[in-house]
Amino acid sequence: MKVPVRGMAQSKRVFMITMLGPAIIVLFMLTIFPFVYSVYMSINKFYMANPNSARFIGLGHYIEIFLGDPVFWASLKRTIIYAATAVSCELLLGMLVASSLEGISRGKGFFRTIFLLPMAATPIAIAFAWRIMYNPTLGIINYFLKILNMDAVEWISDPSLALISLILVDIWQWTPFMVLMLLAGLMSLPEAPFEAAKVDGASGWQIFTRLTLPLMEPIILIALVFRLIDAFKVFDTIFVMTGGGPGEATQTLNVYTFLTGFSYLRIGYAAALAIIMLIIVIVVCQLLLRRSRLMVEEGAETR
Amino acid sequence: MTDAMQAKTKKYKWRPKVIIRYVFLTIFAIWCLFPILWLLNMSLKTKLEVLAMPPKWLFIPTFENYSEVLHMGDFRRYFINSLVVGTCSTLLSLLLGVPASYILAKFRFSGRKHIDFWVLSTRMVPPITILIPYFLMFRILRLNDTYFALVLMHTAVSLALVIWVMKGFFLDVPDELQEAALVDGCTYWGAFTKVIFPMVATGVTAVGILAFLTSWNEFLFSLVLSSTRVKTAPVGIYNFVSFQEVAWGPLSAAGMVILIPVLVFISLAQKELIRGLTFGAVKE
Repeated sequence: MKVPVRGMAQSKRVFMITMLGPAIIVLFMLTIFPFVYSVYMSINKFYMANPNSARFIGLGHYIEIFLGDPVFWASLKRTIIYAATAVSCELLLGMLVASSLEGISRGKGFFRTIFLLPMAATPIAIAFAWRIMYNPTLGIINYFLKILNMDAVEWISDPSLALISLILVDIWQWTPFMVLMLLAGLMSLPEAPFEAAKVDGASGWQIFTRLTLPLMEPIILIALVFRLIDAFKVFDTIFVMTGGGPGEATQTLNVYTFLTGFSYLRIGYAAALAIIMLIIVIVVCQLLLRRSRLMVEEGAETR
Repeated sequence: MTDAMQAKTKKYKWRPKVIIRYVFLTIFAIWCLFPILWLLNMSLKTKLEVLAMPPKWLFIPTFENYSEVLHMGDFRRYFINSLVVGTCSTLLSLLLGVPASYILAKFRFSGRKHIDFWVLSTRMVPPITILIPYFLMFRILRLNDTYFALVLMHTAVSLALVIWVMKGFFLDVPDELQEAALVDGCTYWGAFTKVIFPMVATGVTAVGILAFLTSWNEFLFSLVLSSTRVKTAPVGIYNFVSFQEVAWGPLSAAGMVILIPVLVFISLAQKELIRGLTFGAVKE
């Protein structure tokens, strides 16, 4: 009896390795290798035109970035403003839409299908649509403003407004994601505590803040992690709509890194910037995910 | 019984609160649709009508912009490139991702949690950290502007997504099915291909659509890794716009053409898309 069991364990192991192995190898190639290579590039000084000219400079790039590069700090600030504003608006608006959607009985599927469009649509097409609508003289948005007797606005060509205009596009594009996530959270809430609260005479607002929000914290955190990280690294809509301009008004960290590497061809410096971006992403993930994991574990224990 | 009945009738009554909800949702739906509808509207106007101010709301639709776009030789090539890269990277990420996700969902082994976390974290990595080293490596290997490089990078973007979302579908299959198949004398491979795989066929379709759309919509990698031969549709259209700022008609038509697969998938597979786009969080 022992032999077939061992044979079984053996074939199980072979099966698992053949199924899992290729993906692991590819994922390894796609994460660990570029990371190591990026670190190597970031501690060398070389230009795209001549990759053989690499010269070791240690932490030189990082020191330059942190101490001598005001553009980096400005880009970082813009990125934080972009991500924080966009995601908090998406969360608030998403909560409103999701709770309205949860409170209706007919047409849920219909609305959800429509809400899919912004998040599934090709970002290039979205960027064009908004660029056409934002046009100061021929755009539809300024036409609406004119009807309302308001002055025309230079949406993406006014440096003080351009970032906000891009944030608005992000809100348009990704609020539906929040809606779908939060709706799933709302629909999976247990009914008993809500009935009890109603019997006790709690107001709608009290129920929302004391029951709904705490119960939904795990899914809200997950949605926030995904959105914050993605907002942090938005490239296509910004690049196509403004290219980081006017001036540097919409140059986020991602766009700055891209331009440094592929327009100014300072590839080592760009690699250092990319490593810093990666570290920021890891820190944000750890902070938010650790909190949600702790909560999930606590929840499991009390249950 | 009466309580349940009452609850039900209450739910279907058109109370003011419910009407407000519908009004709000309709406004939000119009807001979601408007930019795309406006693009469609622009794409059907003549060159003069596009620039009319105030905008012309009533007009006879023309398809001249579409024929202009589709008759530009390069444009057709960009779309074919997008199709080739999308199809290849979808197949590759399914081939690699589906088996891996089965193991991660249904087998216990040490280090599984670490692999799980690692897979999810690759989804978080800023694409530019992957792009810079690969761009240099492809340059050294003279692989820039080849399908190979682009397919590999697009697979990189969708693989973690495929593994992660697919895991949810495998977890929905009861463990007993696999055990029963093994007891009946199936090998592990047999149990997977004959018993489990047919049960998750919908899931494979869902992640396949997701992987295809990810590749179809992808811009950054395509912009950097393709110059002439394998330029994809988004990059082709982007270059087009930088040359012809005011040609709004053809531009909108190009934008609408690139949205066709998106619209098809939304109308045919919205449930699968919802599940995929929310990383498996929303199940139906």
